[in-house]
Amino acid sequence: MNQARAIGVIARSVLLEAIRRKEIYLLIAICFALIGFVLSMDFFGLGGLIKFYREVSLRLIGTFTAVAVILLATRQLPREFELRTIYPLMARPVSRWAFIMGKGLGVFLAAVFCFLLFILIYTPGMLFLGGEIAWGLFLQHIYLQLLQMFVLTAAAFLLSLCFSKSGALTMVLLLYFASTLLSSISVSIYELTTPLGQGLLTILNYGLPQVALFDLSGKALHSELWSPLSLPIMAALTLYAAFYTLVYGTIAYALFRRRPL
Amino acid sequence: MRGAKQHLGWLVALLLLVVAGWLGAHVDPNAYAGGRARDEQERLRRNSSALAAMLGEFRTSLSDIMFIKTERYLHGGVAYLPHMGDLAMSAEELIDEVDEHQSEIGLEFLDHDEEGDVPTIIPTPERDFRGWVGNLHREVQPWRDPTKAHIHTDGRDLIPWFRLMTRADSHYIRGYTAGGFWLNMADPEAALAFIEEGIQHNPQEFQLYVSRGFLLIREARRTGVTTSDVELEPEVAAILERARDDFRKAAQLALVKRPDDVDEEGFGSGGWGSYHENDALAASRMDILLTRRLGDPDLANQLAHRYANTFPEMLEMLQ
Repeated sequence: MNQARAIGVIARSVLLEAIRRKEIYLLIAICFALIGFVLSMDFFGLGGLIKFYREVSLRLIGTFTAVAVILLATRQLPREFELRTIYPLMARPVSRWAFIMGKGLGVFLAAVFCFLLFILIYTPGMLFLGGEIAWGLFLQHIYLQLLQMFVLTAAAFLLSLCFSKSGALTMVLLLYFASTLLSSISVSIYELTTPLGQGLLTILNYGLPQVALFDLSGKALHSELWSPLSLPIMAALTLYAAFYTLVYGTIAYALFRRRPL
Repeated sequence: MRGAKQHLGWLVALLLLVVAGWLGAHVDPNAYAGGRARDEQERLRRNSSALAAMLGEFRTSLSDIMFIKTERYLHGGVAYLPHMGDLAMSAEELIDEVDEHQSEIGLEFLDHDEEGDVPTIIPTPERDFRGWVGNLHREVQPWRDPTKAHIHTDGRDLIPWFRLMTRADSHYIRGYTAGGFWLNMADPEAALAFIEEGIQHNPQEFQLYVSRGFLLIREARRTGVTTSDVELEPEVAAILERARDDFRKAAQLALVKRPDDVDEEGFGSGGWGSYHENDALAASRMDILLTRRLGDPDLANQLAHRYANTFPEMLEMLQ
């Protein structure tokens, strides 16, 4: 089988699985309900309070998509071994790298599917409130969030090959939720620590992807003040995401290759 | 064996339900008071329950987080270290701050001249060990060189956060006072109702009465002429009487609450801060001024003598 076609077939099966499973809809339904709740909130009968809706919605959309992607990505590889579905696949002329690539692409497409659904919810909400969408910053934010999904998927693949499924799930969720906090704390405590501690913080800074770099919601929220990011900055962020995806993906591939079938 | 495990499971579930019921009946998270918006004595009085403390700390921290968020909104999303001083916790100072802030908003989002050099949470390149990662962070997040003046934005969008922070913690006094002044810009009646809600939850907090007093003075100015050389119209006088009552109530509560050991800078035991002192002074002064303005100079002089026992500067207001 042509490897590119194999990647496409595997990606399609992951996407279909994501669409068929109930959990992604459950997450979307919860997010939809929360956004609807925010939309229905009345603050002293005042209209035009756009920023509150914008902030809460963007946070919810980002968080729920990340959780959906992490749930989906961490179970992809372990489940293939548990259910033994990997054997008939490997019996075909599908290389292992094509298998991993297909799985990764499938998870990414599921993230795109999630974002599309959320945008379909968010945009009418903004229009209903009479707000404008600063499309430049909004689309850049979505793009960066998608880059983040690549990184999270690669990290999930890597960790699911090193630890149990639930262990990997916990660690990727921690990476996602604690990364921003870790980044802020490291900056604050750097000058207070010993040279050894400073070395450790430097390793953490470059060893772990900084999730905050993919979050443009702060600027999108106050879009009347901030311009979209310049092309070189977007290119640098794309390279940043590509670097971590490549490193984590390569290590995951190496581990997967060494794993006996 | 399996049956025994099942029974144990049901027993645990039942026990949890009983505990949940007991907690629901005995724990009142609103009885807890913490965070940045209240004094030590009140906190000690309220926080005797360990369970309420555990649940309540989360709630008050949530309100603090929302208050910090309002500061970020005002600065266009730029995260500065919290820099509102003690005096900005005073109801009297807050109303000036709000006015000053609003006057600086224009189409170009004018910069604030007085602020500057307040460190940002994301540090400057010189103080950031993260190199190019830090550079990208400063590009992606709203960031501004801390040596430059701050950007100020319209405070209208803060209103939902004040609503939520006082819902999360009905003892969050600062949320009511600051929220009331911002809300007053959009809907003065709603602002008065908001402060009234705060008073219902916290009838002993004198700053809320100070806050409502100042809002009523604004309402009186909107209704008619309040300058001293003109006779007051009945509607204006009625509003000023309500304001005077609020300032008098505030002064009475403040004098009971004020410790004896207040130093020159306005700090005293039991968490009494300079902002309390400032508001206690404002309440006393406004009570005297409004009593005189409403046509009772003798009572105004009596009040000046009474308040002078605590604040000697009130003698300057004798006429």
